Amino acid sequence: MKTIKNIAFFAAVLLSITACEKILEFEPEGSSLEEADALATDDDVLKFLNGVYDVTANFLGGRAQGLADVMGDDVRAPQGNNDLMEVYNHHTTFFNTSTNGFYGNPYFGIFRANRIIEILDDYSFSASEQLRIDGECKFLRALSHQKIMELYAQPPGFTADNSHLGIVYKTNPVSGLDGRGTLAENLSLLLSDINDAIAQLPEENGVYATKDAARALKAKVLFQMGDYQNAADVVTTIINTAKYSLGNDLDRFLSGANSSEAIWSVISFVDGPLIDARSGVFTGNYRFFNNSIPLFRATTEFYNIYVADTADKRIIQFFEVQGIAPDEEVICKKFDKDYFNVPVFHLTDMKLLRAEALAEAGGDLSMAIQDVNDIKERAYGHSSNNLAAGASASEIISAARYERRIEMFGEGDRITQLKRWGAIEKENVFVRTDPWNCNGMILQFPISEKSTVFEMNPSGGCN
Amino acid sequence: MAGHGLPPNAWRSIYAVNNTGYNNSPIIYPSLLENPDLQWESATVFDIGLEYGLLEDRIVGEIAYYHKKSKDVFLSISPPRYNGSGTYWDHVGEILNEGVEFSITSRNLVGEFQWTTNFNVAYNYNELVSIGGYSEDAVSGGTNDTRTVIGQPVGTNFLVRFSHVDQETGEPVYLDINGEETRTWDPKDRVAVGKVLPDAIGGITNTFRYKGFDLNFLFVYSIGGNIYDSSSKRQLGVVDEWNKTTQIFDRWQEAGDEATYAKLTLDAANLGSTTPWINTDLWLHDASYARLRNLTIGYTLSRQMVERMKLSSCRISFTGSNLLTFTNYPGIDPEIARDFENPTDRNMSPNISYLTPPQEKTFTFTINLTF
Repeated sequence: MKTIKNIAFFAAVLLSITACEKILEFEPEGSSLEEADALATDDDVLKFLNGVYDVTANFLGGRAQGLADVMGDDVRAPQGNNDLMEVYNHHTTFFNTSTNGFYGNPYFGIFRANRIIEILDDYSFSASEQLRIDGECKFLRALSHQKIMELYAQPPGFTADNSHLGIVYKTNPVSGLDGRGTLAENLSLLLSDINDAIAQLPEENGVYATKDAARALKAKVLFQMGDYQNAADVVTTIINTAKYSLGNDLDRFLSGANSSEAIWSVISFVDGPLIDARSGVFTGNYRFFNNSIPLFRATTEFYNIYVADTADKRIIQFFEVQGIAPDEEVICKKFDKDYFNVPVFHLTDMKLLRAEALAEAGGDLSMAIQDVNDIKERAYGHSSNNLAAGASASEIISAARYERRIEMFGEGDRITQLKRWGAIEKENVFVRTDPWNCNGMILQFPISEKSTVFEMNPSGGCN
Repeated sequence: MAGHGLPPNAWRSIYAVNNTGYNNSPIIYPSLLENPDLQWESATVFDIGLEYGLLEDRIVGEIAYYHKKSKDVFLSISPPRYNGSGTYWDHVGEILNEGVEFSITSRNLVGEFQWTTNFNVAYNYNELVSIGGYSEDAVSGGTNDTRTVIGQPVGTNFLVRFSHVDQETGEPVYLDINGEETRTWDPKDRVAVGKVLPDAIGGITNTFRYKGFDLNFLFVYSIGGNIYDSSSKRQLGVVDEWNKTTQIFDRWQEAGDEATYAKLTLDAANLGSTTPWINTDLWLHDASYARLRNLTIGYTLSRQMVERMKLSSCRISFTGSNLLTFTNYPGIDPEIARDFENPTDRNMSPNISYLTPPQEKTFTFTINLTF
């Protein structure tokens, strides 16, 4: 031990250090507020509600529509954008930044709507105001869920009883792990919300949701479910209000105003230096600017269907070919503006929906023919191309589909129609080369959703 | 708390106001969901050390062991998005830190010719014990190549396994989650692979002195860890606007080629993927190295000589840094640090290289005169 001159031994054990919780508390700085301060008054709740519209406008200003159209057959491959190429190729993965970014947005709005519904009794709104606010929340909650269902779940009719997986339909603001409902369960909740909204919303509500907005959403949902006569009846209720007209202008994406045919729109607000262009994603995707080919171009398959009909004003007004063969591209000019209001529901859609629905349901064919002809007469400026008075149901359906495809180009509609033809009408539908019901025809969820109770969509795309 | 990047008020529900939110009307919106259960982390720490001196202190050193178990660790969580919130702070983690450190300094020769050796070695380990029911992908931070996996160190590589290049087609063959060969790269097949933490790190310093001369050199080393060279997926993968490294010469070109890298292609689909940026363990490399960190040769003039020059002291020395590196790592430099600003990101990427600049090699000549 003589050589060991110095030995030091030390040991320390620290157990369960729990500091005073007060130290975690800091007064929020800047414009951040705790909920009790942020939502102190009735006016605060209305601002909170406006925030639901805000987030809804964020995903309906071209994001939801763009993803749907890239999945379909009207838009060419968005080369150079890896995320969107996954969507185009019907093979998204759970790391896709673009689809994941979209997916979160409607649920932001849903959380806010659910929170408002939960706390509404705590304020001094009149009974009618409370009904309206509750109705707006349910309308926005329904619309948000419906957009996610369209992209992330197989459509109604994929299974005979819609027992296939839908999405998480949130009706409360409680965080936790939830499982996906069946599509049948989703649709039941969706229609319940919509029916409440129709009952509670006012006929007029400025730029905000109205009875007709909720009716239009209901018509689209019923149409997608193949409940054609009921869908047509809802449209008739909207049209009978006589508040909407097709007019002569083919363009319903107007800057600084709503089109006469708009039933409910996302609003872009521009006042001097203040620019709140909610239509920016449309513009960014489609605009041909400085001789630069945009990310989204029309397919030649789409263009060739319509281009020969030189009397059709739509093909002239909204489409043009740029570039030199063989590198020609069909540019869509429909969104070639700095900003515009986005009509989420409009009369053109409703008329074409009713026409096809009546024809499918064996309903009033003369009404269906008139609806199609209203659209045709605006497109041609005369009635020479109208459907004959005695047109058959199949002729009406064919005509309505033809008109719908060009009228609603870029509005995210095409893919939902293709799926309906496959799921409800049992047609042998392919989206480009992939069957309408293959695994890749719905987007993959973000990996954040995965849990022991949440089943992801099948991977591997359509292979 | 600062080390975690935990913001103040992380437990409160915070709202924000935008006065022109929608339709030129104000909006109020939640910017952070509440988590009223947040409190301080807790830890159990056990340290033990032994300092020793032998042979009249010709040999001295220290042995130390530490064991730290942290509970309720703050983690930035990405909860399911259907809850309608972004990331928020939750303390759901349980992490074990454990290590052994050993050092020895030996004065091998004393007298006119002196030789001293210092050697140290350390083994440091951490393991995620629990993550409170969240998935491997729930913790934010880092890049798509590391995750928090129970039973693995924090920020372990979580990758699809690469098997080989098909000699007939030049296509890559991957392994699915069950270890079966597949031509499709699918992130659902990711598993924990590699070793983000080395088996040992340390250094050895030798110092020699003889009359006015001195020589000192320090070797540092790391044994048994892996580096994930994240930039390789672009430098050796799908052809794009990036330059390739010369390793691409070892690619499949015709049937029968036995190659490390798949055929050249502009289309990720030809490599079985939907994305051109394909993370696999093909980019995971042995990161063992030994490096001559410092070499100094000096001469201190004798008292008689400096007095003749009217000086009180004079020393001339030459120092070189990072002069030699011995490694099998094929990248630029096996000594890396991921350049994230966020500490959580850095913690989540302990062994990731992404165009990380190499340590510079320096040469310094010094004349030190004291008047």
